[in-house]
Amino acid sequence: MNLSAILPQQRRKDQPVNMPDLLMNCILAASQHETFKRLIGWKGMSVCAKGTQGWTAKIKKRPGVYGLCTENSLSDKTGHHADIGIYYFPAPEEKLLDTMSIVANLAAIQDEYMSNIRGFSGNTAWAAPFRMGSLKISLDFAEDALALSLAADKHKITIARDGVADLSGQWVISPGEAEEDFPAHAIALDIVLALGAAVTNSLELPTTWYGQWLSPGEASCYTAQGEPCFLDMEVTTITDTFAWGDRKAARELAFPRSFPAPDISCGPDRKDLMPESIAQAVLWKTHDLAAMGKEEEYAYAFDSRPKLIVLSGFLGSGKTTFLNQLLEYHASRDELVAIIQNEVGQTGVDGKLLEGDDSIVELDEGCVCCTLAGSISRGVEQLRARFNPKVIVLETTGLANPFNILQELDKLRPLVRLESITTLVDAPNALNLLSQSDIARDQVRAADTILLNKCDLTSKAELDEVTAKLRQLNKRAALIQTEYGNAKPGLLYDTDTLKQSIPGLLPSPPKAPHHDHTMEGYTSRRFAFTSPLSRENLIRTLKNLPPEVFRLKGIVGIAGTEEAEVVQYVAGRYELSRLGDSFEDEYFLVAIGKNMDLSALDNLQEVYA
Amino acid sequence: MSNDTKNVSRRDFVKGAATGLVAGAFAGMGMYSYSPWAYERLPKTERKMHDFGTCRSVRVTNISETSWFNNAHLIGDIHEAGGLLVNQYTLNWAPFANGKGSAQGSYDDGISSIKDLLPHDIEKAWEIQKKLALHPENPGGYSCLIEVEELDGTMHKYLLDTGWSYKWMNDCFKREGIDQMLRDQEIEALFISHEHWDHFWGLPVTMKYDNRIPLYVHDGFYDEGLQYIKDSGYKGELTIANKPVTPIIPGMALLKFDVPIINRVFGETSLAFNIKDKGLVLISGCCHQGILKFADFAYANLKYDNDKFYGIYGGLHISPFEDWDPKYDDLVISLGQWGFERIGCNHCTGHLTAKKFIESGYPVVRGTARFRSASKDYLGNGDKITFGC
Repeated sequence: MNLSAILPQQRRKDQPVNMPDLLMNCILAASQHETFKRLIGWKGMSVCAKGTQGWTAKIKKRPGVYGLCTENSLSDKTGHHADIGIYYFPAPEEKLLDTMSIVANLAAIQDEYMSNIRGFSGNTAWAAPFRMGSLKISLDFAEDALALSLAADKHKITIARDGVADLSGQWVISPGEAEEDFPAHAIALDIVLALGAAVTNSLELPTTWYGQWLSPGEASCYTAQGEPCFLDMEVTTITDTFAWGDRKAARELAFPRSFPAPDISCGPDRKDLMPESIAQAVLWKTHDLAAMGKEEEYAYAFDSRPKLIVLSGFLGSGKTTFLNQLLEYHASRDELVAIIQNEVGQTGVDGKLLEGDDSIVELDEGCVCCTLAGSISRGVEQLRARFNPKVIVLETTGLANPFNILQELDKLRPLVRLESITTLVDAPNALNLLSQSDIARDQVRAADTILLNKCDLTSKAELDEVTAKLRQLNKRAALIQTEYGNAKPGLLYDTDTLKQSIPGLLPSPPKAPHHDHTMEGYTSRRFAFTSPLSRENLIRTLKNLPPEVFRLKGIVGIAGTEEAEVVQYVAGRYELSRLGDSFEDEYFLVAIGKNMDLSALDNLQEVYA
Repeated sequence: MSNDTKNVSRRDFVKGAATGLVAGAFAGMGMYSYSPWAYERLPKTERKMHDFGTCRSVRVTNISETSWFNNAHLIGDIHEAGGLLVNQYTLNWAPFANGKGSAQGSYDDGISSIKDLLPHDIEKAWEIQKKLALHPENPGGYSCLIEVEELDGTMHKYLLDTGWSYKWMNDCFKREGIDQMLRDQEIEALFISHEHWDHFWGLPVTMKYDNRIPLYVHDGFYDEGLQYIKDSGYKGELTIANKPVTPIIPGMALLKFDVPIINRVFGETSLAFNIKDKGLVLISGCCHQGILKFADFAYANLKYDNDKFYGIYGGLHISPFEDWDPKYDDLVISLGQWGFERIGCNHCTGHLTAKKFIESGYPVVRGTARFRSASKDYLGNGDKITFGC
């Protein structure tokens, strides 16, 4: 077996192998294939801190979080072994909780539930009611066989002999009824099959053998005092074993000769003998992803089109700030983002504010949504040819109407996977703006994801009102509250990889013609400054701008400071911040609004020109 | 109580319990799952508290943290070659380029074009490779000088990593006087954090000045990597770290993490220091193991003063495990939970992440943004950070 993807190449063979680490390395190595993650619906994992070696993880198939915790680990004359406890923590609203213990229900309603899950391996007494079964992983000394064995009850059952009642005497659990009765095996099997697929992929070897043992287990029963009592009820413990490499050696590893003969024992050629869920599992195939790519059934995982995000939002809603987060999010994952961006105004301000300008391709001047609608696909084609980016962001101008590009987006389907139309909404300005601007309303209506930004600048009451207004305009979009455009970009991506529909095409465009910015009468003007401005002068000008100036932004020098500062102004609120970088170009400000009286800015330009 | 009425859901019941309404009932009414007998009890693991001694102070000089100068070119090259699983030696980057284009490079072709020049004429070797490589101006490199003061005042110097571009690294070494320190054999060892291009491929630059320096690499190095050490003209004693903890001097240990890394690299080694009366200091190249695993391993295995995480320096890569909660800012949160008192970050940390550390009130030691380091939020090229007196 080739273990070079999961164990050090130059390792000494007499050293113990950390088997749980080896299993997690299988997932890490396999996850370097985007395709693999989609095939198994992998949603990510996290290391438990300050506890026993453990991890939490999530897969698409279930809404809750899995826990894996090392319970025993040893190297003996047969090889290296570890026992790993498999836990499942249901999502707080998951129906499964109705069949789980009272203490599990109590844990799930606490505010700390999620943080307790993250650290569950340091508190196994807390986590015990969520334990589903036990996974054994073994590697023989010769390194020619590896086995995974899951042991779990078909149904985990605990009977409350005396029942549980609340204070008023109503039964929560009637006497003799089950406090716990859940399908532990089926739940645990889902994560084990995902791990198995990762083993197959990182060993580049198909699973060679499957064995199943059914053995009698016991249901538990307790009295009101917590004492165990006799219960004549049998449950079935199911043990599933998967082997890689040498079949005999692997079986021997997982189960010594003394173990009774398995109820099922077969290779990949006899899927008819296996339970359906196991026969259908991808672990039989993930050693050869290229071959899987040819099967219709797995086409969803082999979609290599870049993701397209349409980023919308009115002037000053925080698109550039959010875009910076998105760029860094992908850069730290070694993924390339391309941005199609354009700007009302004569200077590509945002280009200068974005870090790493080279990933920005500015299309022609004007609005991509209206005048350039014909060239989006050409732009996308060029970007794909030149950079083959993972994500393409189509950043529309603050005055663009996303409905105007829906048809164009539909034509892009062969080139890109439309991930979402994301609209940023400036919370403190929202009510005013939404009551006045058709474009702003359409931006909200068209969105799949609404990022309600600058929430720190509004009261709770106002926020509720804005939320209600947004919901009235758009019921189906995901609504996320943020501050400083600080939303995790991961939220934008529909990790639901089976979803085949094109989300942006779901909203039905209203019948009336769509407004573009020329219809709403917005204009823009640029002001240039050769010398640094006095801070006092600048702030006075900003404070006295007439309400017709909706948006002002730019980069200026400030007398007495070395660094250039970024000026941001939206509807009467302004902010100055360090550019954090040297600025060689001419200082400038761009104003956008309707019927603007710009005399104050004219004066400023005269003084510092 | 009647046996046949049941109209309280578990959720409502526990919500009542949470507000204290049925607290009394909890005590008396058979809370079965509270009973410890219901679940097997698992052995609690003890912290190992490995005592690796104490030192007085550690000073880090950032020789270079700018591994490459254009991220779009770097990521573009990787993607053009086929993605994150492509063997780094085939990407056709200097010094393993052969002029045949993306994904057509090979260790043997590349090294054969320059082998006779290593390590004495690295300038010429790099010029030759630049003509064959993709984006030849992109390489920079990661490297830092670590000066450790023992309790008795004895000083030790070490290098962590040796960068990428021969030219860039040679210039950086000269800027910080590393060339002379190597010539004078003042530097006691070179640790390579991992086999990636930007940390390891500049090896001949160190070799040019001292080809007998003790060298430590992870046992996850591939055969090409070990061959490159020989082909760079190394004549010293190579240590292939194969234990989780390798003590170096009192208060300094090398930690080994076995983790698959992109472009067919395996494993990262990082450094840990125990500073007297202060606590633990961690220094990493890229931290591909993830800050959470790095800190957790130290917590679970090492003994350090005040049982306190004191400082951290280096590239703080995001976790190799993409977190299951897309809202969870794992790097910012996981760094915060350990309570470091001095943070010097750069390289693969990310500028916005560094900014978020600062906004979160973390004690980030800011730099000067010189020598092509892009932001003062980074402990940049030529900047120094001291841990302990």
